[in-house]
Amino acid sequence: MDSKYDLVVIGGGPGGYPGAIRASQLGLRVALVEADRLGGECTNYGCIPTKALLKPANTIWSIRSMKFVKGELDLDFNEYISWVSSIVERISGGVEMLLKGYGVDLYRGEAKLLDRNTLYVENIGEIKAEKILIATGTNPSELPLLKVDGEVIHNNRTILRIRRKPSSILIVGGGYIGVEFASLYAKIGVEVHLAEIMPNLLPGMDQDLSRAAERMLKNLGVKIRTNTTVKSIEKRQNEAHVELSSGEKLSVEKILVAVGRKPRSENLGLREVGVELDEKGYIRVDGSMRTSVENIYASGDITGPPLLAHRAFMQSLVAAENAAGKKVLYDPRAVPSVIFTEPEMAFVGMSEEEARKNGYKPKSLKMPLGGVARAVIEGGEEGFAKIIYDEDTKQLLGFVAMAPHASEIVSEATLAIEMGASIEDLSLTIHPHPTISEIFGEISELALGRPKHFLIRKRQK
Amino acid sequence: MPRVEKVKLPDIGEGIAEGEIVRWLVKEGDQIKQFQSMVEVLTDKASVEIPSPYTGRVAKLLAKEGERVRVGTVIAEIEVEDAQPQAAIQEAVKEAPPKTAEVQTKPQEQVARQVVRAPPSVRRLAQELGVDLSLVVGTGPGGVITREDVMKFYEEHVKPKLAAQQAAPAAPVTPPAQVVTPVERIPLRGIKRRMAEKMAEAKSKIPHVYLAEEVDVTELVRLRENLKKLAESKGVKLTYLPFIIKAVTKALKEFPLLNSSLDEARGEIVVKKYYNIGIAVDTEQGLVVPNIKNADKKGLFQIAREIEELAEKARQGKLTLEDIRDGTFTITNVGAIGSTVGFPIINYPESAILGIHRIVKKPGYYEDRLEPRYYLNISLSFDHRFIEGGYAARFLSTLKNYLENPLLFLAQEDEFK
Repeated sequence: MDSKYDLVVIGGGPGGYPGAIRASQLGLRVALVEADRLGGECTNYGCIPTKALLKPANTIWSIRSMKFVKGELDLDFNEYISWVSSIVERISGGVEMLLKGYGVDLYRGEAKLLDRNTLYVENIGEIKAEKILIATGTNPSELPLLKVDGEVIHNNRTILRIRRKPSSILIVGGGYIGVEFASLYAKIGVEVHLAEIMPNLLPGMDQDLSRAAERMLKNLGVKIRTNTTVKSIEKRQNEAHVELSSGEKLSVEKILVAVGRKPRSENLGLREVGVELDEKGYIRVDGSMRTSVENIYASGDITGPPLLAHRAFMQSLVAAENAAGKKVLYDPRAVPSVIFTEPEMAFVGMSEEEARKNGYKPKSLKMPLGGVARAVIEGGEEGFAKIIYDEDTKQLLGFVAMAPHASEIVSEATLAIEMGASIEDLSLTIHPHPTISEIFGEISELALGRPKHFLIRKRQK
Repeated sequence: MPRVEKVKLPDIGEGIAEGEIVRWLVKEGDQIKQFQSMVEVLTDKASVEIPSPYTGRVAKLLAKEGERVRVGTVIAEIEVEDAQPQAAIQEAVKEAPPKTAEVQTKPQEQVARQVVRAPPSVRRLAQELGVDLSLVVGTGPGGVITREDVMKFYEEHVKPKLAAQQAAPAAPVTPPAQVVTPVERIPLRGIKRRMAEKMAEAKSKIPHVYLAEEVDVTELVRLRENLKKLAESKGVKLTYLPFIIKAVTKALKEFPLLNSSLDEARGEIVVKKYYNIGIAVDTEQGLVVPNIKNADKKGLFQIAREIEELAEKARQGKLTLEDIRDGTFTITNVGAIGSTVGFPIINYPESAILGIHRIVKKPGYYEDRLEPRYYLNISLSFDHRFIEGGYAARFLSTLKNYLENPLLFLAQEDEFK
């Protein structure tokens, strides 16, 4: 066949662009099709802007919480949003520069598969491809009652466009996106209401984290309602009157719908060419990221949860390397997750239950952070760390923490799990003092019954 | 939410490292129930049906029929519908209906194998080299698999196989197109392949020596004729084989080296104090050798019954591993179709094999009178590495004596002391 490209990547987000770059590095002739902005959901509407938004909010909050710092702090909301946008532009621009630098041809427009080797890109026409990598990601899920209008009712994308600080907001959904936005708005002085349908925040995650998140948000003044949904809504010009399932009535200026994601697999011609989807619409792939069609690969969120940019990066590279004829698998032992509250929350590896299912004899140990000096300085005393390890081999299997810089130190646990390290290895590794990473030394020593900064009291019957 | 569970070739028996996929009993896309047989696997001459550990849909069959697969290798993928194994759900339902809408979670009953302990770079290397890490023994701290472990495994196990695969198709260099080669290529599969391997192994490792005797079995023929009715009344079909087995076990007790094997690695002769007598059975799939366990402790009729059972199982391909392992000595009917004397190949690692032939009626001298007699030729192949010719010859003549005087082996041993 006389294909023009060896590989065409559909989607310029974390599941798409790394693969395009890697394939090009391996000598393939590569094109990438993007319908919106390079960098995808993460760079433009997710990870990057939310972290940019959080940085000033957290800084202001932590300065304000130091009672000995005098004077008033004020936030110019419009400038603040402009600054966030400039960060997004920079990162997205960086992606474009990289792709061009590696000789990847860029096409802008929605793509659709015509057959297993042909794409149609709107306004451009047909593109032939030997192999195709689909990385179209997800869209925000919607609620029938709360149709996003970009004025009063928002999703994670439209909320970034508001230029005036709202006085109040109702966040529907207590997953990690809802929790991050709740802490963000609370810290910049917005009245925040949070409604979650399940009995706990962060449903499905570690229960200690879930409880800690609730406590943390309450301390920030967030009004949390669990087991709660929106029963009815009446929109006024700049306001919404909401009735909750509990019967309670609220008036808020904005509503943010953060109830999960749905795969962007419709209208791509996937089923027509034989790409198998699961019942939720995610693409089924094997360990080499290949779909049910031999020359078509998929990576990133379109392959189903966990929906994480860093997972997408790795999958994208694996897909590209296989497309280039290598034989490699996406087989991480551990995929870290982070919730950017303050202190941050992070977890990686197996829960006790998962460990048991995998044939281990798991033990878990939870430790408060009072014995970690840096955590005391950084205001992370209410935090904790938890390890899950195999009782026989002492191999580290999982790690959970709410701690300052948890998003950074979780990588040590991830590496330890990937390397098959034991908690003895962790306890014998020197950690710089005073740092948050000392958690690993302390908790491992505690598990081995010889902590240095904890007093073990004999249990009394 | 559906998840994909990997099905590994389970540990099928002590000391068995690999098996051959004989036949898949399910297809991709089939629904399968937990414990339903999914594949027929052949190990040392027995085929075993492997049950599915899960209920779900067969997503992928990863091993081909005819392929040799090591224990622990993933052979199939099953898409499991539930978030928990079927067994656990059924149990949960049995116990009590869930009180809330929450899914009841129970620890998994069947614990999967532990995840292989190897760093990412080592796992990547293994993928590239086609090394199955679940078969590699880790020498790093705590059993972590190192780069060196993978390389060593690759050099020892994967590379030779690859070389063989590459060499094989290269051998028949495509002849000029107009030449039609009048050959048919029949793949050696299953029992036939195993047979080929075992024969080659036995012949290349054991220096065989052969002896033969002519046995006057007139007395035995008469005895069997007398017992036949009685046997029939008990539903037993009495052939000569049970008599021969009884005689052989008795002779083996006197010549234990013929009921032993050579442990080459340790340079020791392993003398077996049990007498599991193998009988070679010809089947359509090939030669199989089930054995009569503890034949020395069993009666004539019981042995006859077991022979019948084993032969039937063999013909139907239903022999279990239990039926074929731990044999100590083998008897084979080499002359059933018509050779005067033939010399069988030892069933490695045993040390000897007895060939029996057709019983023929011919004139012979008995107490100086020429009369019609019945004769049976028997042959013995033995391992000359540790059995001397004289020893083997004495065994054979002892056996001859028993067969010519069946009362000697049918009566209890201690009665003659």
